[in-house]
Amino acid sequence: MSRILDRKLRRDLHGMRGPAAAIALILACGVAVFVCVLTAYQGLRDSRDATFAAYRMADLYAPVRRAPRALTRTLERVEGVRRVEGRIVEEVTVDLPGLTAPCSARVVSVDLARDLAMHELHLVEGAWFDGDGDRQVIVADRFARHHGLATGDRLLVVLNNRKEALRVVATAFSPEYVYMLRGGGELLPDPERFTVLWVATPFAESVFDAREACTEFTALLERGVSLPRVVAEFDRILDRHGALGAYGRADQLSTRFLNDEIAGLKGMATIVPAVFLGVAAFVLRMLLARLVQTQRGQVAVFRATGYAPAQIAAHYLKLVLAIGGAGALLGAGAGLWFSRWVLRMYGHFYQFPILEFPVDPWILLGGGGASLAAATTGALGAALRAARLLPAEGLRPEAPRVFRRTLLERWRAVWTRLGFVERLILRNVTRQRRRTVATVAGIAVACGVLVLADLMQDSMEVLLDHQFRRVELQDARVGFESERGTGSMHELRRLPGVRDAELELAVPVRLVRGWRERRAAITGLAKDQRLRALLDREGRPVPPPRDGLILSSSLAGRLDVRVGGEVEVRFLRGSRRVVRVTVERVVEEYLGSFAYAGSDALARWLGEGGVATGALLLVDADRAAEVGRALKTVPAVASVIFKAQVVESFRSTLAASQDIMLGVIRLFAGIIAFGVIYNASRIALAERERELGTLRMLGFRRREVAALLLGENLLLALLALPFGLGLGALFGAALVGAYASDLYRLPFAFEPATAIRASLLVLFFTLLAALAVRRRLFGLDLVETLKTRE
Amino acid sequence: MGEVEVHALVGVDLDVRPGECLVILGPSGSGKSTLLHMMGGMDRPTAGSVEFRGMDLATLSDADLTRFRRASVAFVFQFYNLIPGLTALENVEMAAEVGEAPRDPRAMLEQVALATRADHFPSQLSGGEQQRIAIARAAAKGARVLLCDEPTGALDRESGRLVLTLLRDLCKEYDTTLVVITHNAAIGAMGDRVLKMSSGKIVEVVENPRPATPGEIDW
Repeated sequence: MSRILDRKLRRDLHGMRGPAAAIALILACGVAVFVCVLTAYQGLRDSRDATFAAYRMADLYAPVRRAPRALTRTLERVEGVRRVEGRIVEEVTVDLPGLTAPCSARVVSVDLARDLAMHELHLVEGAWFDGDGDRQVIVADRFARHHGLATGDRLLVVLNNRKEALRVVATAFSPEYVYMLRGGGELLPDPERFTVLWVATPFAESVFDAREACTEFTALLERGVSLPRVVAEFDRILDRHGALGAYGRADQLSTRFLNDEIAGLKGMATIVPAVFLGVAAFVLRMLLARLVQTQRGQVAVFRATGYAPAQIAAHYLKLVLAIGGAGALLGAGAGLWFSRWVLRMYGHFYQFPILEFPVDPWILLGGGGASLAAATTGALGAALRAARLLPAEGLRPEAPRVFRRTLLERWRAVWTRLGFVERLILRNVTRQRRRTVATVAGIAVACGVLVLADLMQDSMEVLLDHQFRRVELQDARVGFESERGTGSMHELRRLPGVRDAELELAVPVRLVRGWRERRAAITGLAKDQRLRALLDREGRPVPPPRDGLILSSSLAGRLDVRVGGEVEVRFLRGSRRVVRVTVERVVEEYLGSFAYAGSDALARWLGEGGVATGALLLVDADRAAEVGRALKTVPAVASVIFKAQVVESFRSTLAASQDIMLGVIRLFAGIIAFGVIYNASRIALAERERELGTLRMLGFRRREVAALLLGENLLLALLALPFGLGLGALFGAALVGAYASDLYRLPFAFEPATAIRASLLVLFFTLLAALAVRRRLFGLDLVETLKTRE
Repeated sequence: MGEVEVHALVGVDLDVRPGECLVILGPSGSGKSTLLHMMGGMDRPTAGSVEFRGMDLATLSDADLTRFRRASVAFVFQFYNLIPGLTALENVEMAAEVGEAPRDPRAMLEQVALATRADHFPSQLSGGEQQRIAIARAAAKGARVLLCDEPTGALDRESGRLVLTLLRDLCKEYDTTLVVITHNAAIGAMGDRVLKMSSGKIVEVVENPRPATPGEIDW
């Protein structure tokens, strides 16, 4: 390779450091997103896998009403089962003095001697149970930290209607509760009002009167075993004992959320970086084409002197590779750094005993390679054109551009009314079509990314509004410890501050259609339901079903059933009946998979009526605390969830992470917009130094000449806006699609304010780019520009 | 020693003798630049042949043409065509880097009396100085043929005279064939032979047994 060409390369790069840096930054954004998202994806996946392996996450869960522990032997004989453990899992309430409402907890029994075949606990503080483990408890670390609990503290827990003071011996993580959700449609962990409590088996057996009995079996399976077959076998064996339906690890609540998040990340890892790298390639193409054009004469001299075409092509490729390499290094570094932050952010939601921060050389190489590839793709054409240039041709002055009247100019009525500056702007924009298209496309992408940032917020707002203002009309939802008679409604209505109460019945079922089946809960809907609305995604009310089921679209999809089709409902409680029911309607909803039935029909299918599993309350706004305190004294009440608190925690938890995320997206969009416009301006300036210099000689003020360039940029930005808004909508739809899961899907929402904000930001970045070029414009040496031959 | 035989433009037939100084005179548009480009392997004729030491440039591949330019010819252009991003010395080194028998770039700068400006960029030099750098560049390659396209076209009289003197002296010193294209008839006096062109044809060939030194030329 040529030493002299390399020196020229360095000087060229220095001369175009502004545009080159802008392009390197765009490339860096793409690489950073790629590296960050993929690293976060790997980190989350590896943390999950490492945690599950090291802490022996079970493969199968089989809850029952109550069964003798001795059944583990029988279950272990099922083919493909390696190990079975029985344990007691019960929902209880915790009485925290500072809390106005009851706090619910899940008690899980563990072996006193810590002989755990699965679900090893990771103790953060404290030590395992001592002695007989009586009145000792291990508390979920997150809950303990939230409430400032330390080992040795006492925790008041209502166990089987008896309030007991338990001594906290340790705080812990469990692979089962990486994402610590209570269940029942919640999306975010709520350490304020929910925790897991691990107690020793002997203590659990005594307080729950369950000697040698358990309420859940967990199992480790052999590799490659058919899960549905084992599930069926477990259900058959446990049927007599009130099997609630066995399910695999993937359906375990915490794991399901975790897996969805991991899958969503993977989707994002490819879409977003591709957009950035594509734009960078575009801009680089523009820049290099211009550079080669300017340097035709120089290329010709090198060729005349005897430099080979390959040397020339390599020279220009090196130039873009330098830019691509800078983007790759910067992006990889920023991406890695940012992935640490993202993973730590995830650490607030997902608690791993083992949190992996991987540095995968392949991801770094992939990101860097993508940057180099994008740079090369963008520049290859121009580099080859330079190489193919015949030396004699390069020495001849370029044929003057043919100026013809543009379409607009033929429209005399409008054209003659335009000022001189406007005409110049319009001519330039319409004549440099390729560059106009490239610039407009670049700005449109930037605008699209800006829109995307806001769309995510809009979606969240629409979701919150839909779910918590229009679907859930109650102020508080009460969960009973076990099924209650309808009499409890009057008890609730009598509480001070309660304006209205409605009972709720949710029955665990297994829905079966052919070989497809799904665990779900059927909720009964009364004809005169007041505190819960059933709406479709457009917000239209859906009448309660008469004699069939209403399914959410995600559940219907899973079962592959359409309106008019039949599903088999296997009740997992009480009579354990099996009925065949028609699907009356499929409703698109945002949160969860659900199944609704008319309350009369549900009672008929069950063969019993007049029972409830919970209640919805309407509460005087200023008396919520009073209601909460009163509910703490009602023994049947296991949990109370105030809607306002849910919404509040939703906002505060998500806002923290979203604000930074959105800031970063905006920054990236700004870099694109600025980089594209800045490059286009620099090129336009270089091309028209003579024209602009002449204007200055003719007496134009700097301001007026600057207005010419700015006007052109603003026109291009305005042209790009409609495309950008449309593109943003497309990005948004793609992202919403990537994140849609059984558990929730984000609505697609595009508020006018979003369009306005994105448009204003694009114009702001346009002005910023104009300011950056202004210095150079004002620095033009008039005499020099007029002397320039090319 | 090589011979350059040209059938070019419209029935142009020309032999260039080794070591001679050939001046091609003609008004703009007479085809003289095209003729020069063909001789230098920068362009190909549509018909006919351009022979150099028995090899037909018209039939050479691009790679072979590049090899030919690298080894055998050097150019001086009307507008100097220095690489703006390279210093004076680097512009000379650029040619030395690819030449087959390169000469020391610093020595070449000394020959054109610009050793003190070695680290200046072209934009910091006057037109005459730039052209002298261009001559140093051409000489640094060590090629046997030097092709000059209106080397004084953009220069004032004094600078022009200096440039021609340098060209003449260098070619004598290194026994290089010199071809100068110009529209300035006065320059013809320095040639061993003068070729007059018009509308793509050679209209007259004048032998000049006693060429003048550039210092004697007045224009």
